[in-house]
Amino acid sequence: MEMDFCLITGRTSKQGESREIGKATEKYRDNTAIVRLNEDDMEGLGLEEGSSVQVSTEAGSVTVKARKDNGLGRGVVFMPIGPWASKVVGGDTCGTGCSHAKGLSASLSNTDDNVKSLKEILAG
Amino acid sequence: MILKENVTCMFCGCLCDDLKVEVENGEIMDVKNACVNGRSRILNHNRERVENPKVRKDGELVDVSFDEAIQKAVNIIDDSKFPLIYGLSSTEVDAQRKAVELAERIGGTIDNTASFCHGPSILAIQSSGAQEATLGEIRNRADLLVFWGCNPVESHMRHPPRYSVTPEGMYISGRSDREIVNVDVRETTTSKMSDKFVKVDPGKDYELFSAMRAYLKGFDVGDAAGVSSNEIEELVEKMKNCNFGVIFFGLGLTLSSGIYVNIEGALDLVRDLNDHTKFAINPMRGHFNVTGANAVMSWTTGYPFGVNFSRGYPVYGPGEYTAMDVLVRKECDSVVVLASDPGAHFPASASSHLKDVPTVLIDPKKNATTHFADVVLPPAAAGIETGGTAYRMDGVPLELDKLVESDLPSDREILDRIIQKVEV
Amino acid sequence: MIIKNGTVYDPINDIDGEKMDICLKDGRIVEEAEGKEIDASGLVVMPGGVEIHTHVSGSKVNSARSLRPEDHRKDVVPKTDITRSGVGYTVPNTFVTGYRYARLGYTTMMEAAQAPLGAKHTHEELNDIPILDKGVFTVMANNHFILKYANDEPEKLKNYVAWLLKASKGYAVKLVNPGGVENWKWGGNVDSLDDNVENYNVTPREVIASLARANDELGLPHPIHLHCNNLGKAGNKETLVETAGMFAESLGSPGNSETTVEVGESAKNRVHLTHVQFNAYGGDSFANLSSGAEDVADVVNKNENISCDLGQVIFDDVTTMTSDGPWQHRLYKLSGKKWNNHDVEMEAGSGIVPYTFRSNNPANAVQWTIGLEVALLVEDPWRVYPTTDHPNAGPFYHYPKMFAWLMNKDLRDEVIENGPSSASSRSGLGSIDREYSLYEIAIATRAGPAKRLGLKNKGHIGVGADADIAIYDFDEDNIEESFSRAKYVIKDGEIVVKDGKVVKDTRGKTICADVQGEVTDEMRDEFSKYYTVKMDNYPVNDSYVPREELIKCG
Repeated sequence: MEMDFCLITGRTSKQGESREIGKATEKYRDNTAIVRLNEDDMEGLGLEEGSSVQVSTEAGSVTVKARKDNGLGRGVVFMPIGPWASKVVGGDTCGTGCSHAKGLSASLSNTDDNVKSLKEILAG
Repeated sequence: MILKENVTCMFCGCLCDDLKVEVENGEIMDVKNACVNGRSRILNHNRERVENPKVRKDGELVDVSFDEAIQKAVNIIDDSKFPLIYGLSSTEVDAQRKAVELAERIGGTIDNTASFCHGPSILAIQSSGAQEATLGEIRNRADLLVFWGCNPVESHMRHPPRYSVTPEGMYISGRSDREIVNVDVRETTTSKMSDKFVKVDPGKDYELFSAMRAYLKGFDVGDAAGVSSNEIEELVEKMKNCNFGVIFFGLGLTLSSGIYVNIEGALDLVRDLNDHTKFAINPMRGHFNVTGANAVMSWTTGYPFGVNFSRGYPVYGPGEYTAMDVLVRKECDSVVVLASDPGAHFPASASSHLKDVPTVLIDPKKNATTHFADVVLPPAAAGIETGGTAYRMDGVPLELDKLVESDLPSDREILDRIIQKVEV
Repeated sequence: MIIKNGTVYDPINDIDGEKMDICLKDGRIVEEAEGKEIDASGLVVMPGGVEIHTHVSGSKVNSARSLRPEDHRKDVVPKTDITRSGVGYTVPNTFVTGYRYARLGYTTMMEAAQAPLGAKHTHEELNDIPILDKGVFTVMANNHFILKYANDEPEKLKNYVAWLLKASKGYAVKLVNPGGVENWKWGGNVDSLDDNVENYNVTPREVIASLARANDELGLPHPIHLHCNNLGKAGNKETLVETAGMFAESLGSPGNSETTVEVGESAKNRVHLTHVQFNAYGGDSFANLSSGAEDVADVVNKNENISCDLGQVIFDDVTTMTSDGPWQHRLYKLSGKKWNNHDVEMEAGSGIVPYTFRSNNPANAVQWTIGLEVALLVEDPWRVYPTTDHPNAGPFYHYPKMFAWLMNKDLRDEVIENGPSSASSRSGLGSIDREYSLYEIAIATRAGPAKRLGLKNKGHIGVGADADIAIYDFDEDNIEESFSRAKYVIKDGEIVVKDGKVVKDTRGKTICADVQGEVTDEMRDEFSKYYTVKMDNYPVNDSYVPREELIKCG
C-alpha cells in the first residue's frame, strides 16, 4: 500500500538533545530515524506505532519507523533532520546554495525492511 | 564545588547567558537554567568525544599524534586543486577567522552552515533590506508576535520564556499584553502556545505575503495560499494596528519551494508595515555561532558565506561556491569540515562526495562526517573547554566561558598549525 | 631612523615648511638617533593623519558589508606576500580599510559610533584593521539611563557616562539625534530641541546639555561629539544654529540648567559638531535646497569652544549608515533604495541605505558646495576638519580630492561650472577665493583633530610624540595624486608604506578613555529587568583590546 504525502523535515527537541549525546547512539536513531504522521494516515497505510515504513522522494528512499502525531493534518508527514532524512532530501539548490527540505512530494509504504544503523546509512 | 554563573550557552542562536554550571574536580556536575538542548550539550560534552587525532589507514581510523595528523591534513590540502572549507558554525570567532585565513592562503572555497539554513534570508536581505531589532527591544515593546515557519518550542526552547512570549518587558507586563500568531503548514507545539494559528499551504508563503501586502496597500484580495480573505484581512489589520510587531521566521521559509523569494515576500511586507506602525522581522538563527560565522566572513572578506579565493581575492557565489553545490557537482577535490556535520545534514547526493575525496574533520565529537573523514583533529569544545566570542541570533556578541580544562588544543590553534605549514 | 632634510609641517610645534631632520627611536620621536636614513629631500614631511570620524567597524558597518555584495564586486583587492586580500568599495573589509587609510598617510582613526551592547563586535573588527591606532565613540544620547538621569540626576548621569565608556572601551561620548532614536522605537522622531522624548519627559536640549556638562566635569579628552537633530532635512541649519547657540554660554553647574552664568570663555562647555554638511541646509524641500554654510561657519567663528568636521559630499556611490534610524527611514522613502534598520535595546538604533551623489543633480550639487564652503569660511583651521563621514557622503579614498578642492580655487570652480546652476545660485562657494595652504591642511588633518581629541602624542612630530609620520612627494599641480600615495608612511617608527604600497602589515593600539564608574543597585536592577544580557557579561574584557592605550581625563 503506497500513498503520497507532503514531507516536512525539521528540528525537534528530542533530536537536538540526543544529538548532543552522540549520533552513533541508539537514542539518536530512535529519535531521528522516524517519520511522524497522522493516525488516520497510519491506518490507511496499515501501519502501527513503531512499524517500518519506506519514505521515497525523487532524491531517494529510506526506511524509518512510524510515529503517531495527530498534530499533523492528513497528507502531511514530518521527519527530524539527520542522516535518514538526508536520504530523501535532494541537493538541487537552483543556484541559491540551499535545497528544498520542506514541502517535498513523498510516497510512503509499509515495508518489512529494517531501519539501518548510522554506519549503514552513511555507507550508501 | 565551584559554581560558575552567567555562563553563555552554546547550543542555539538564543545564546542564553544566564546559565549556572556546577564544576567539581574539573568535571561538570550540573547545569541550571538551560533548556534540555543546552543542558544536554554541556552535561554530555565528554560523551562520544574523539580523544586522539586520527588518520585513516587501510580503511580504518587509527590513533596518531597531532603532528602526524596535522601533516596529513597539510598534505591533503597541498595536493588539492580545489579545496573546500565548510562549517564554522559551532565554534568561536577566532577559529572562524583562522578558517578564513586558511582559505585565503590556499586559494580555496569557504562556506558556512548558513548556506543551508538562513543563507536564503541573507540573499533576500541583500535585495530588500530588513528591519531587525535586538531581542530585548522585542521583549520590552512588542505586543504582536508572529512566528512564521518556525517552531521555537522545539528548536529555540527558551526563546518564548526569555525573549518573546511570556517575560515582562519595559512596556509589556507579560503574556496578557501580547498577541501571538503562528503561521505554518502544520500545527506544532508552537501553534498550541499561540493565540491564533494560520495554516498556509506548503510552498505558498510568497502568495500569502503578496496578498497581505496588496491588502495593506488598499487592494481587495481573495483567498490565497489556503487562507481565506477574511483571515488575511484580519491578520493585516492586527499587524497595522499593533504598537510594535515582529515576525520571527525560520526554515519553513528558507527551505520551502521558493527559497529566498519567500523571505523577500516577508521583508517587503514588513517594510511596508513600517509606514503604519513599528514593525520588525528577525530570523531564528540555528547553530549557536552561525551568526558569528556570517559576521566574521563579512568583515574579513566582505561577504557572509559562499566565498572563493582562487583568484587571490574573495569572490561571492551563492550557488557557485556554496558547499552543497560544490559537493553535488563534485567540484572540490578535498574538504576541511570545521565544527559541523554535513555527513548527517547534507542531502545524500552532497555528502556522498565526502566519501570520494580526502576529508579532514575538525570537531570534538564522533559524528556522521567521521565516517567519511580521512583525518580527524579533535579540538577542545568551544564554550566549554575554551572561551571566545559568539554572536546571538540578533547580532549581539557574547563571551563564551571556559568551564573546565582540556589537554586538547583549540580549533583556532589547530587551524593555525595547518596555516603555518600549508603551501601558499 | 632619521628622516633627513625633509620639508616639515608640524603646526603644533610651529614648524611651517622648515627643512629639518626628524629622528626616531623605539617608536617615538627623539632628539637624536642613528640607523636607517630616509632621504626626504624635496619631500613634504608631516605627522600621520588623524581621522576624527569614520564608520568602518562594528555591527552596523558589517550589516552594510553583508547587504551590499554589488558594492564590493567592482573593487577587488588581491592578496600579496604581505597583505591580506579583500574588497572595497564603500564598505571595504577590515584589511583593505586599514591598508587604504595607511596609503593616504593616516595613522590614527576614530570609529565614529558604537552601541555599547555591540562593543565586543566593534573591538573584534578593530583588531582586524591593520596598522592604524584606533578609538571608538560610544553612543549615549538615546540610552535609557542617560534619558532617565538627564534632567534631575546629574551625579548619576556622570557616573553612568563614566561606567559606560569604560565598559564599552570607548574613547568619547557620541550623541546621535538625541531623543529622536528613542522615539523611533515607536516609529517617531523629534523635530526640535524642545520636542518631547516619549516616556522620559526629557528634551533633546536637556540631553545635550547634561551630557556636555558631564563630559566636561569628567575631564574627558574629547568634547561631546554631536550628530544634530533633524539631520538631512531641508531647512535644518536652524536646528544646528540653535544647538550651537546652547554653547554660546556656560551650560551652568549641575542642577542649575535654568540659570545663565556669565563666565569667561574657559568655563563654556565644549562641543564637536559632526558632519555639519548634512545639517547645513536652507530651503524647505529637496527641490530648493540651499547652502546654510554661512550660518554654520558663523557659529563656529564666534565660539572657540565649538569645533566641527565637514561630511563633505563626493560625487560617487556611497552607503549611508548612521545611528539615526528615523533619518535613514526618510532617506529610504526619498530614494527608494533598499533599507536596513536595527534597533538596539535600551541604547541605540541604526539604519543603512545605499545612495549615489550625482554631479548633475541640483540638490547634490548644492550639498557638494556646503562642506567646502564651511571649511573656507571658518577662520580657525584648528577647529574644522575635512571628513566625508565615510561612507555616508563619500568613500575616504577621495580625501585627496577634498584637499585639492580646499587648496585650489580653480578646481572648485571647474566643478561648479560643469554642474547645475544650483551650485552657484544656491551657495556662496563660488565667490570664495581663499585657498588652504599646506600648513593649514596639516592643521586640519593632523594637528587640529589630534588636539581636539586630546591625543597629546599624535598629530605632531616633536620630541616625545609617537613616531607616526607621513611623507609625500608633493606637487602643487597635482594635489590629489600627491596625497593619494604617500611616499613613506611610518607607524611606531617602522616603515609600513613605501611608494604608495603597504610594505608591512602591523596592528596598532586601541585608545581608550581612562575613566571609572560605579555599578549602583539601581543600575543593576534596571539592567536585569530590561536588558537581555546579564550585566556581568556586558562590559568588554581586556582580552578584546590586546594593545590598549589609556588616555587620562582631567
